[in-house]
Amino acid sequence: MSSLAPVHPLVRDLRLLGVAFGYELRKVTAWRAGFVVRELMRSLWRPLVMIFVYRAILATPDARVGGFDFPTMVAYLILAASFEKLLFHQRGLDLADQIFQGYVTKYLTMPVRFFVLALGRFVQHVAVQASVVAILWIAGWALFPQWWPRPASASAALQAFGLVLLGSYCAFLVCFLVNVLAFWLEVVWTLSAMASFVFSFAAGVLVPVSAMPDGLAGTLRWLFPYWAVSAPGELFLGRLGTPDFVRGVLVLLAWIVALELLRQFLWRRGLRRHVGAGA
Amino acid sequence: MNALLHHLRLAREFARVGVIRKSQFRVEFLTQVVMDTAWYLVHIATFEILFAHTDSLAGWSRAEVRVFLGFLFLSDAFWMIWLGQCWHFGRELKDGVLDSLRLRPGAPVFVYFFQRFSLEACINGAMALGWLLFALWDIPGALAPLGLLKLAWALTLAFWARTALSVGFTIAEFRAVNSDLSNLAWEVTMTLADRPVDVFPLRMRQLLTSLVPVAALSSLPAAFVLGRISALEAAAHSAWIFALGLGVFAWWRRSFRHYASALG
Repeated sequence: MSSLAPVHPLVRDLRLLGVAFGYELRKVTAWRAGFVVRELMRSLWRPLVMIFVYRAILATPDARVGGFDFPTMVAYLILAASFEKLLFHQRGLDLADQIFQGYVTKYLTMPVRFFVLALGRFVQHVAVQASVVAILWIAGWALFPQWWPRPASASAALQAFGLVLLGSYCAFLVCFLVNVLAFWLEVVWTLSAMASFVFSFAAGVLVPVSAMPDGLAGTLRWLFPYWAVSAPGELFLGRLGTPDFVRGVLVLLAWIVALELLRQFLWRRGLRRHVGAGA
Repeated sequence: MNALLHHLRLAREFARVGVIRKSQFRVEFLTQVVMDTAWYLVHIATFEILFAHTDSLAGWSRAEVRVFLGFLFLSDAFWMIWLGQCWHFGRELKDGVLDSLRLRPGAPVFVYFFQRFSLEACINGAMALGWLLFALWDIPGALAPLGLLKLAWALTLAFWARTALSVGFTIAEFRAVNSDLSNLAWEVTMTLADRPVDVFPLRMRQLLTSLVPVAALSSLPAAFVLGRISALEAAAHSAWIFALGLGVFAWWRRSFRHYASALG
């Protein structure tokens, strides 16, 4: 009898989330070569190549860029590469293709919320990338102990990880929003790519935001990319403290609320004008 | 000579079709121009910020890095104008839609890689050229007749290297289908090409100027125009990269002979 009892919508969504997560995980690991290329190596290159650039700039022991000496900059770039891997990636969502090809129509007739399926992909992304980052960190500590970053404290590491997770959710919402624009535009990959360039710069993946000119750095501190990569890196290294963490959480939560409202608005408006003949 | 003219006529047709396609997708036209402009601005801003902390980057001054960025932007624009199709190669190989390539009127390498002409990238190419000329303005003699000759040579080298690398990376897809290896190789290549090659250690520099001539996309052409390497050195690099390109095209053709699909 209990199986026939009405299920609370939240419980139903959570069950669906679990199923979607399992499905996405199987799908992403189905192609082994592709899995290694796409999931293990993604987002590593740019910060790591910057190590060579900073080696050229910070050649003398007293040279500094924004207060960073060379070993601290290496630690920061390793953190930036790790955190960027945890952020939801534009290629992680193919919603725009589904809209273009009319596949999205089938989800509208199913008794599930489409967003939960996309959320399943977000959970899969974070779970896979967190595992990859953990493996990389174990290898890094074993192979390069003198260069690998060490947290200022356990709470600093936890605070940094918390900010990265919230930032990753913001990145996921932005990806979803850009994809939803496919209801109105013929092509959205250019917008995704542009968002990616701007994000990398604003997040301080290549140059720490604290090394940027004051006016620019002050502006970027109001945007979520800074709190998703640069600030967690500085928190981890002890260059920022708990008050900064609190400010970061507030900024990220405000962004999540704003992006979520915009997502719901655009999704509803988009569905109203969607036509998927034959799909 | 006849073959060259034939392929130039094909290129003209690809350009004509590309212009017609873009006249239908006007928003795409605008967003791609804006996207590449954002890419340029991020690069310029990154190096300008770095030069606020230093006077020299591995021996390159601020003015020289601006020239380097000009070559990077212009070779990227060439890639976007003509070689955008290479981005889709892995998927199309997996889907088995390359059969018709065997029947098309030209060398498969040329017909496949040059088929997607991008009009919007021409706008970005004009912007990149503007930036390069602005950067060269500060370099004595760079815009004199001899300097312009060196500029033409350097650009030819950059464009040839782009084509050879674009084709070369896709060969990996024949070996590991649906691996995204060619796109990953591009991602890594572009990351390495984004910085003057002199920032890397010696062994890496040797690799990037020989077997995987990433330096020929931006560093070597800029170094030649700036007089950081001699004409003889530039000639040696050019001869090697030209031969490497021919070898890559031959290797691609051989790999393509083994291509089979359900329809093939």
